[in-house]
This record gives sequence, structure tokens and C-alpha cells, in this order.
Amino acid sequence: MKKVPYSVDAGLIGGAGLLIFICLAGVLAPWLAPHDPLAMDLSNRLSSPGWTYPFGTDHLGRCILSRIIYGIRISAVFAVLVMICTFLISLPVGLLTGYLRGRTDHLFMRFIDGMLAIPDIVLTIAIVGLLGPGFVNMAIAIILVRWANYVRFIRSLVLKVRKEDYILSARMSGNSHLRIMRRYILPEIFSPLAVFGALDTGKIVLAMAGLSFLGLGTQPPTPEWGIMLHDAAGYFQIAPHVMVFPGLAIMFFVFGCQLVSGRFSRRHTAAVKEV
Amino acid sequence: MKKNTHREFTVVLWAVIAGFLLLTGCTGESEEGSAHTAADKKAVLAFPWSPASLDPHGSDSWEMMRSGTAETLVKLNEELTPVPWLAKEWKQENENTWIFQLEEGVTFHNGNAMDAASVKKSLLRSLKQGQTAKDLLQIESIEVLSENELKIVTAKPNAALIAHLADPSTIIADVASLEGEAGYPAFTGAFQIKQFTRDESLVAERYKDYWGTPALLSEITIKFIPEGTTRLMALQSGDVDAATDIPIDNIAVLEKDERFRVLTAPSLRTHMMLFNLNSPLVNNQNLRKAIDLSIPRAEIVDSIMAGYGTEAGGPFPEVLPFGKVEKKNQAESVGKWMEEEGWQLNADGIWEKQGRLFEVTMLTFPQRPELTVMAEIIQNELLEKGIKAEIRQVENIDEALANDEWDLSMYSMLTAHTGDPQYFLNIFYQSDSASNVSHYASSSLDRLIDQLNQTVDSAKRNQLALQIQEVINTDLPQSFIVYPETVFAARKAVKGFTPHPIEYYYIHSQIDVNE
Repeated sequence: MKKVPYSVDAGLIGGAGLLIFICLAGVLAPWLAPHDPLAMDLSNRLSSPGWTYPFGTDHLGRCILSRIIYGIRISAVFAVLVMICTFLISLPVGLLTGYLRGRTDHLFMRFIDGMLAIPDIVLTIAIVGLLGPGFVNMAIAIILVRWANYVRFIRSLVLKVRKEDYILSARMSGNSHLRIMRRYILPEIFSPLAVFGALDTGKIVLAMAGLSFLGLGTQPPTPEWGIMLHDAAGYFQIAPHVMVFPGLAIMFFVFGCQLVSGRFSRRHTAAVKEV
Repeated sequence: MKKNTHREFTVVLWAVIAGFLLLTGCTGESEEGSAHTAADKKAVLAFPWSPASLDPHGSDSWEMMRSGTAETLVKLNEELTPVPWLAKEWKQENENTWIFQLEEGVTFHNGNAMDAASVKKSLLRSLKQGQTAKDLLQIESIEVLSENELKIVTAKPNAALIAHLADPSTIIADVASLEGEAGYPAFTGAFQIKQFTRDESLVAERYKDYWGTPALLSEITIKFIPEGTTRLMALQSGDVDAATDIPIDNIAVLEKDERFRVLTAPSLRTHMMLFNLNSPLVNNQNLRKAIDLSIPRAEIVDSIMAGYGTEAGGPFPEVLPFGKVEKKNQAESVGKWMEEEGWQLNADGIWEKQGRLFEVTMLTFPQRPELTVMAEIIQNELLEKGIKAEIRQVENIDEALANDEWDLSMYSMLTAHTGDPQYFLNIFYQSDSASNVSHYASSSLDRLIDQLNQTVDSAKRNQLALQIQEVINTDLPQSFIVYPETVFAARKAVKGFTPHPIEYYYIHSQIDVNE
């Protein structure tokens, strides 16, 4: 028995719900956050969760819940922005190399092979190290490292589509290459790309948190999840909650992205896996 | 046939597993065994800073001294009074001339004898290599009188010469061992360098022919762990036997754990904030005053220092006779200073002048974790007062101070490590000093410091030092924040590893591990 398509999908609904909830919380941050995320209260450092501070306070007496809510605006929005920028670079490159093949394709692919041979995180740290720590530099580093993955993936999708009969017929009917790419190839590869993108948004949040944790990303006092973890590292033995809540926030966001992309990918015939 | 292969495979597999178990068992045993045999006791210590090289006469002299392998002519005791070390005794012939009797029977780690000639060579090298030794000693000539007798003539009267011969920049080394590419430098300490990996570790083993009391431990390993929490965890996991500079908030964790002992002691250190006088924003004295006023010293001491420190009013801790500078008048407000310089609060509550916002870059570094937290508190206070500060964490603060663009920077100095104000004032404030990181230049202060260098009477010296500090507190090239206490932690079995006020005497021959 084949499963009926478009049935109610708990995973998709759960994932989407989680993401929508997180995004809404980010949008409504000024109304939802019980305190100013930057307001320090040095007499009330590292206090445990309670009525006034539902998630407790950090090493400078700041409300952890408020910082997590405001952190959505940075972590989530940033992840989506990085994603868009990466697509802006990799989509044209992937389409051209996959569609035109030939020497350009060969050159690009060997270059990308070289890049992919270096572990992601090492390369990102090296780039941020060169550019200097900071929010924008971290974004640039993540984009510079991830675009190669995307080009690989887009190219593989294009390679599959370009052999289809309808592309050949389109060419025979006198369509230009550009038009074929825009009208016939792009729509075809769009949905697997969306799945890949959703999955990767979670990974970007993780990468960003990792860099901030190493002190290379966001600088204080910005309420960002990774830097919150970084700051908490010195206190987890005396006040574990300072580390647990930002960690959970990251976990839920990534989990939401996974659920959405996982359910999405089953709907589509194109097998989506990490390239 | 097939069955046979299968059996062979099983036998080989078991053999491999057994061998592996045996091997791990062996290593575990040998390591533990070494800790128990009396003649072969070892200790592993965690320090935050790694030397970049092993050259004792450069910027790494402090780290070399800290490793317990090197010695100087003079040592400072816990009261910070100079006592004999490689120099057995000394006398002053006239204002500028000193005669030193060297300890006999001292050999360098390469076996060469230490005599007046080798000490002269070593001192000349330290004068040639670094500005610090030159500034401190102001030597005109060194003369070998006999095998163990040395005459030092200073260019001008230098009252602090003896105390300054305790400075690590004057480490006595066999110069020949420093110039060859092969091998490690040969010093005279109770331990000799066995192995060094930059940013990782330095292993020092007992020097058999040490002239003093031989070391109790056969080997000391110093692991360089810049991050405070990592140092703490290395101690808890048993990777190291003792660690320095424990993050204050975690003292409670170690106190609850009966395996460890936490040792605290007043230090001669001062945490401060530097102003970059080359930066167009903070080269103005009034603006520096505005920033200085925003630093909540009392709150910092109470909260993040948890009482392990006192508010700072000048470069030197108040326990020192030259450390009691009169407090400045705190009645002024930030607004007054800012308005006087033509700045106005804009709609966002930030000071603005001709379309330019008052935005500063503040550097901080991870090796002293409390400094970063302090930076955040100051950043928050500054913002409340209308000054935007962007914090940038750098791995190597001294490199960043020299090469990067910055306005403010967190910093920490052992200000009176020779028990005398002269050293710090000379290297930190003389206009031509390489360590004048704030780029502060004042000819009148230079003259005062010169005067101090030539004054012999200690009451007069203290008076001059106080006068100099008053100038500093008016010109404000730095804001002094807090005098922290030194916090160490060690396994209870470790004996003799105590916080000496002089930070580079931590490792000595009498450190022991008694299981």
C-alpha cells in the first residue's frame, strides 16, 4: 500500500509550528521579554530561575529569557540572511556550470573540490581569524565556506534536469539558454533547494553559535545565542541554567528546521542529502 | 577450511584485544608508579601565558623566570627586600660604583661554570637585547675584578640598582647557549629545560648539579592554558596538579571539593583601563575624565571580584608605602566634561559633535577572564552615560596594542614587582619607553621620574613617587580599576606552591608532591 500523499503530517506541522512560534517571539520581543536584555543588575548575578526571572540571570545579572527572545532577532534573522546571500552567489554559478559544462565547469569543480577538502569549521575559523572577530566578518566567513556546498548541490540538480526531453524540445524550439535556465530549470530545482535551504538554516545557526562560542563572532553585549553560551562557559559549574537555556533555544530552532526539511524532502522525488 | 580461517581470525582478534589491554594497563601503571617513587616525583602546573621563545633577554623574560629554570643576581623576599641569589654579597664603593661577590661553584645547565666573565657577558647581552634592562640598570661599564668579583658602574646614581637586578630581564644565562641554534638555553636554576612547545607546554627536569638545595621534584611540566575555565577543569580532571589565576566565581566550587586547596594572597597587580593617547577621541583629557568617572569601581569589587580585591586609586596597591595617593574629587559629572568639549547629547542619548558620535573601541583578552566581564560592565555604564563602546576580544593583547586601532583597552600590570616604584614608572610613563602602551608623553613627568631614579633616600623616593602619581591621576593616561588578589588552586598533595607577591617566583626547588 502506498501512503496517501498530502495526509496530515505531524512532523511538518510540528516543525513549522515551532519555527513560526520562534519567529513570532522574535518579532514580538519588546512585548514578550520581561526585562531589558541589556540591563545589568550586578547585585543579582547568576540567580536561579524564579518568578521575576523565569530563566534566571547571567553573570552580569541580565535576564536570560529576555536575552534569548531578543537573540532570535539576531540568530534566526542572521541565519536566513546568510542563506540568501549564499544562494545569490551559488545559484548563478551552479546553474551555469551544470548547464553549460565544459571547461568552466571543470575549473570550478576542481576549485570546489579543493575547498571541500578542508573541514568547514577549520576554514571558517581561519577566515574569521584573518578578517578579525565580529558579526559581519563571521557572516562573510560562513558564506565563503558554504557557497561551495551549494554550488555542488545545485549543479547536480541541473545536470539531472538538463538531459530531460522537454529541455531538448525547448532548445529546439529556439529558446535561448538564459530563458531555458529561467523558465524550465530553475522552477524544477526550486523545491529540493528549499529543502536543502531549510536544513542548512539550522546548521548556520549552529555554525554561528560555534564561532561566537569561540569568541570569534558576535561581540558583547549583543544577545546572541552562541555568545550567551560562550559567556556561560565560565559559570556552568556554579550556575548551569545560564548555559542550559540558550543551548535549548538553539536546539529547538535546529530541530524545527530539521523537521520541516525532513518532511518536505519525502514529498519530493529528488533525493535530498547533504553533498 | 573455512572454519579454520574463522578460528584463526578469532585467535588473532583476541590476541590484539589482550595486547591492547596489556598495553593500556602498562602505561597507566607506569604513570601512577612514577608519582609514588620518591626520587621520581613529578608535577604538572597550568599557567595562562606561554613564552613565544626561550630567549631570556627579550619580551619573554618573565615567562622564563616563571618556569623556575632561571635566576638573577638578586632575589626579592616576601617583604620585597632584595636578598642575595647568584650574587653572594655586594657593597657600594661610591655613588655610581658597586662591587658584587658572586656565589661560587655555580654551573650553567650545560655544565659550564658561572664566573664573573660569564655574568658580564650575560648582563651585556640583556642590555643589548632589550630596552627594559637598559632603563632599569643604567649601566655604564661592567668590569671583571677576579673570578668571582664584578664591578658595575652606572652612568648616573641609580638608587634602585640592587632591586632592579632582580628583574627577569637581567636573567643570568650562558650566552653561548643562547646564540647557537641547537639545544635549549643554559641557566642556573634548580630545573633545566627539557622540552618546550610554544603555546602548549614546557617541561623542566631537575638539574643535578644545582648549586643550591636540589629540587624535590624530578620534573615539572607547565601547561599553557590561556582560558581560565579550561585551567580550572584541567585541575578538576586531574590533568594538572595546580593552576594559577582561577576565575573568582569558581572559587566556591573548588572550596567544596576536598581534593583541592584554594590559596589567595594580595598581589602587587593592578587591573586598569588604558587610554590610547594617539586616538583622536581619547587624547583629550576631559573626555578621559568623563570615561574614568563612569567606571563603577565599588560595584566591580563587590560583584565580579567577590571581595577578592580592592578599589584602585592609582597604579600601586595601598599596602605599599608609595601607594597611598589622595583620592580625586569625584563631585564632577560626565555631562560637564563632555559639554565643556563641545559634545551634545543627541536624540538617542549618545554624545555627538559635528555629526560624529562618541564611539570607542575597547580591547580585552581572554587570559584574565575578569577583565572581559569588567569591560562589559564598563561598556554598559558608558552607554548609560551616552558613550558607545564596542568590545573587541583579542588573543594577544600586547600585539593588538602595538598594531591595531583602539581607544580603550583592559590591561593588567604587576606594578611594583621589584618592591620599588621606579621600574613601573620608567617603563610605563617615560616618553621614549617601548612599553609606554598609552603613548603618553609629558616632559615634566619625565623629569620627575629622572629625579626619582637619582634619589637615594627612601622617604624622599616615596614622596616623589606619590607626586608622580598625582600627575598621572590628573593627566589620566590610564584609569586604575582594582587591585586584585592572586588566586591559586592546587591538589592538597602539592606542597610549597604558594602565591608569592612576586609572580615569577612561583616555581622553586622546594615544591613537592606528597601523595
